[in-house]
Parts: sequence; structure tokens; C-alpha cells
Amino acid sequence: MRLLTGLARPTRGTGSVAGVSITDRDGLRTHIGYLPEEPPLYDQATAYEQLEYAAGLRDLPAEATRDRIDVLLDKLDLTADADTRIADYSKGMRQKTAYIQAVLHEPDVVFFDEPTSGLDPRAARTLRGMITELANAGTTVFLSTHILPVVEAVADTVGILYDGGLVAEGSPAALERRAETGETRSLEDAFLELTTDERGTAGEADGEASAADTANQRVVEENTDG
Amino acid sequence: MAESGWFGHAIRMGWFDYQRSVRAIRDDTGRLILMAGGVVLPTLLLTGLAVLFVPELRGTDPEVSINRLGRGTFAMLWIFGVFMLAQRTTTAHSKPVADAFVLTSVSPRTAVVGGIVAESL
Repeated sequence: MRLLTGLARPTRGTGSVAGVSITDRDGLRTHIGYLPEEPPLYDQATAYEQLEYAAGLRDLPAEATRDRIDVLLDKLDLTADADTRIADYSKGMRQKTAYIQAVLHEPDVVFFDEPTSGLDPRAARTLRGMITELANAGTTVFLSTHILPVVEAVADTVGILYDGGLVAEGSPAALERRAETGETRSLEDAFLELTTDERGTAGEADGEASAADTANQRVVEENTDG
Repeated sequence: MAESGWFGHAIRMGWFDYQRSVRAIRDDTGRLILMAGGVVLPTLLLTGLAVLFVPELRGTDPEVSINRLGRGTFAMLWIFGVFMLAQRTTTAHSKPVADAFVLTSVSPRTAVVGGIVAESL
């Protein structure tokens, strides 16, 4: 994700997001939003200050942005706490604030890294709903998570990464069909089979599912040299 | 495509960071007391030294003299103070805050200049 958002430079190969090379950091910025696993927020600011600051750095029109912030805060049940310091927020509130920050400028592609990790069920459901709504509205969502029910709920296309490589890609239904064992033939069964090496041991830490909503456009095109 | 209005963004970043720092210091009473001590004690020391030695330095009071040992000790203490301040500053800011947000919002040039503005305030 750090490569796709321009935060790290590739040592080899090429890639593009929304038609912009991932090495063109200046070109990439206006097209992407990014919510890393650790919400990039400032504890000493309030949610409202943080979001206005983010909008200012992106030169968003003040009046329209204020309205948009109000709408998003309201949708995520944060209006009452918008003037409270982020240091006093729960994990869920921080994640919701960071979500608004990532989508405030209405990017073409949004990257979410473990967006529901560590959240209580209510906050996780709210955020999952917002992500689905975002994808349905035409934004391409690239989601990385170990929580497979989230993938099943929101993804059109799933890629399974294991030991540094893409071991499978397809729709959740297609991947479920690949599961040879398991009573339910779920995405979890498919994941476990695909991330089990020849010795029969599963890579507990390395397996990760990435999901992309590709209804509108292809998110990433990767061409590795050689 | 270069970032348009980067200097304005840098000023905004610097001001925001400055406000954050002020709030962080205000919220941390221990740190505030230590910082106040860090300002007041050297000021008193320098004032005391000035009162004692300025006439001598100006050559108007030959009764008091600073020997080379005194000057050397003072210089060593001064260097030690600078070292301690630099060490504390660098360890307190060992990791950039919200780097993923900053670097996907503005150019590295803006981030650097914003940091300089914040430190200058």
C-alpha cells in the first residue's frame, strides 16, 4: 500500500493508480485517499480542526467542505464530539475521523489498511457500511484486511497475498468455489487452503487478503520487468 | 505536476504544528515546569555572570579576573547544555507524526518547509 500511495518507491517494476504512475507522487496525490492501519491524526487537535486542516492542504473550497464535513460527521455519529480533542477519542472514533479525512477530497481511489481492525462491532459495521456506500457511489476502494467477513461483505474482486506473492485473484464467489475442503466452502476455507504450503503448515502472519472494487475502473496495473 | 500554492500550505502546516506543540506543552505540567526551569535557570546564571564579570570584560574592574580554567569549564558546560538540548529535541521527534497523511496530501518540499516554519515559531 505504501508503494501504491507513493509513500515508498519501487526498486523495480512499474505500477499505476487511476492512470497515474506510482512514482509520480505529485500526480498521484489528487487521485488517492489513504487510511493506514494507524490513523494519521494529531492528538492535540479536535476532529473538526483536523478535517479543516486536511481540507486546507488540499485547497478544497471552504464553504462546501464545511458542509461535507458536517454531513460525514453526522453519518458517522461524530457530530457531538467534533470539538473534542482526538486524544480523548476511542479507537473507533479515531478510525472514523481518519476515514473522513481520507475521503474528504472525493478521490478516485481510496486505500484502506485494516480499517475495522480493533473496532467494536458497532463501529466496525458503521465503517463497513460507509465503505460499501463509497464503492457503490463510484469510488474505487482498495482494502487490505485479515478479517475475511469484511472482504465478503464489500469486495467485488479479491486478491490473496501469501509470502510476498499474489496466490489468487477473483470474485469472492469464484475463490469460494476453489475451496476443496471445509463444510461451508467459505472465503475463509479458500484462504486457508491457498495459504498453506506444501508441508501443510499455514503461514499465520503472512497471509492477507486485498480487495478492490473494480466496478468502475481497474485500480492497479502492475507490470513487473523481467 | 508540481504542487501549486505549496508555500501557503507550508505556512498552514507550520502554524498548525505550532498550535499543536503549544497545546501539548500546556497539557503536560511536568514538561512545562522543566521547560520553564530550562529557560529561567540559565537566564539567572547568565545574568549573575554578567553582573559579576561585565565590568572585568570591559576592562573597568581589574579586581576580578576569569582565569583560563574558569573559561574552559564554562565553555564545556555550555557545550554539554547544547548537546543535551539537541539530544532531547531529536529523541522527542524521532518519528514524524501522521506522515502517511502529510505525504499523501502535500509534497515533501512543503512538509519540510512546514516543519521549519513550525520550529521557527
